[in-house]
Order: sequence, then structure tokens, then C-alpha cells
Amino acid sequence: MELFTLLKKFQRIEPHGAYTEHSKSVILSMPRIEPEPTAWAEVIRLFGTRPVWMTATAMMIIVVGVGVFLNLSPNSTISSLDPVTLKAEADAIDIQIQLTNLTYNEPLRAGSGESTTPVAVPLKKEVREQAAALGLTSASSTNAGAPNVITVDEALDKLISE
Amino acid sequence: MLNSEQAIIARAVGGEASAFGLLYDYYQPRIYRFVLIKVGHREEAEDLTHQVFLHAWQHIGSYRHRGFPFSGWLYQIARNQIIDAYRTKKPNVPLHEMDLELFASGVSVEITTEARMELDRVHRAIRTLRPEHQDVIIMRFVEDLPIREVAASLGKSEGAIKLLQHRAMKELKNALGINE
Repeated sequence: MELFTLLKKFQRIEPHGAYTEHSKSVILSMPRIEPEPTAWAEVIRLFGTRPVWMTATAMMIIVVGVGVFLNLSPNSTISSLDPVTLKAEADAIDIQIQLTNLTYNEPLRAGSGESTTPVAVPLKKEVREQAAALGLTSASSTNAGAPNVITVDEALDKLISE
Repeated sequence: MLNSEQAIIARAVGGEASAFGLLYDYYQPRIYRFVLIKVGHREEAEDLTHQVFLHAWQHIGSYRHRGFPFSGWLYQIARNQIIDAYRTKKPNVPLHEMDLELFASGVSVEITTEARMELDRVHRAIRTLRPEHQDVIIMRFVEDLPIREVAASLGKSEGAIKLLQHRAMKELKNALGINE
């Protein structure tokens, strides 16, 4: 006989009827052991089996309660938006701005030919010489408000006529 | 599985004895077979089966349905009861001297003497297997439980049960001297 068929024949094993009845009546007459309530089970019992709105209400009460406890009422929140208070707070802030591009310009200031300062100095000297040659030596003092000031047009006319 | 089993279990969890009685009537024979095939003694199987259902009734308040059949929970209790029984009381009777009493008079019907001897031989071979292999053989091939239910009862994956079942059958055939 095939093994699988033989194994199926074990299904014919059954307990005695008298034993079954006696065992069942004894078991059902015994008291049940109530499970120990854990902390998590208590939370589930309190919130998990209640309707959603009750849970939401309980959560709202907890949040408002914590807010009151921490003195975070709506009035105190609005008062923090007062302009005077804001200005005082802004003044109290120590603002330090660093001009990072100064570092970028630093080599030019210390450099030899690239800086505008070394270029401007010889140009100024040349202009002064030309001005002196043209009789415009008082040009620099013209800016100081001297009465013998000639205009550029006059200077050009004089130069052309030479 | 019982019709509307979940509702019956819920009533039993709530403490309704008649609901647990329905579960007892449905599952007791298969738990009894499971225990008897593993321990081999009718009286011992009766005691252990009684303990299984007593434990189940007393602790059903802590039962949580996790998508697996109720039988899985009962099989787990049965396995633990058998392990505890063997831990406290080592069998000191050699296997070949044990009267297996599987098919005592009035219990099973229409089994010829020849078939009874054949079943005794298979039973002795099953009892030489490792407990885990015994469990799989009984659940899968005696009780015809689906792999998913066996996996839930033994706390293993379905793939592990398939592998276990293959090895168990191979081992059983070797014990019976059946060539594949």
C-alpha cells in the first residue's frame, strides 16, 4: 500500500467518547486565568477601543494643558510681534558683516603693476608737466577757487595757435 | 476551519464556555491524534490532550488573532505540552516493547488486522524521526493541513516547511525500507 494512503488512515484514530465528554466538562468548569494587564494594554484599553472623536478630544485636552503649563497662551504669542519689542530685539543682535572681497582685492593693493594706484601716479605727473608747459600750472589751484581760471576750450585754442 | 470561526473565537475569548465547547468539539480529535502519534500511549495522549485544552481555555483571554487559524495556537500548546512531559518524565520503555494501542477496540472502525499491523509499522517508523519531522508528517500527510497553516503552527516559513517535508518523507521512507 502506498505510504501516503497509509498515512491518511491515521485519520481514523479517534478519542473515546466517554473520555471526550468527561474532559470537556472538567475543562469548561475550570475558571479562566485573566491575562496580566500591561502598560501598553492599558493605553490600548483607554484609547484604542473608544470612538475616534473621544480620542481626539483627549489629545486636544492634553495639548492645551501642556500649552497652559508652559505659558504659551495666544496673548503671549501676539505680544511677541509688537514692533517696539522687535526693534529692541533687533538692536540687541550683534551683527558682524565680513567683507570677504577685501581679501580678493588685497593682492592688487600690494602688487606692482596691476594696481590702479601705481598707474595713476605717473599719469598725474605727466599731466602736470604738460599743464606747466601750457601755462596751466595754476590748474590745481583753480580748484581752490583762484580768479585766473581758463576753460578747457581756451586752453585748446591756445595749444592750437602755438 | 469552523464556519464563522472568528465569531466563535471572539465569544470564547470573551469568556463564553459554550463557544469554547464548539472549538473543543471541532479540534479535539485532531489534537488527540497529533499527540497520540507522537507519544504512542493512549492514556498519556488523553492526559496531554486534556492539558492542551485546559491550558487553551484558561489562557484564551490572551489569545490574539494574527491571521492564522486557531488550530495553529492549539498545535503550539500541544507541542509544548509534549516537550514538557518528556522533559519531566523520560520514557524508559524500549520502543519495540511499547504497546502502541493506536487502534484500540471500539475506537477505530473497519480496519483489518493486516492494515493495523501495517499502520503499527508506519507508526513505529514515524516515532524514530526527529520531533520536527514528526510534526510535519502528521500535519501535512495525516491531517492534510495546508503548508501555510503548518508554517504558522511551527513558526517557520512556508519554504522551510516544504524543505522539512521533503526531508521528513525521505527519512520516513528510509526507516520503512522503501526505495525511492
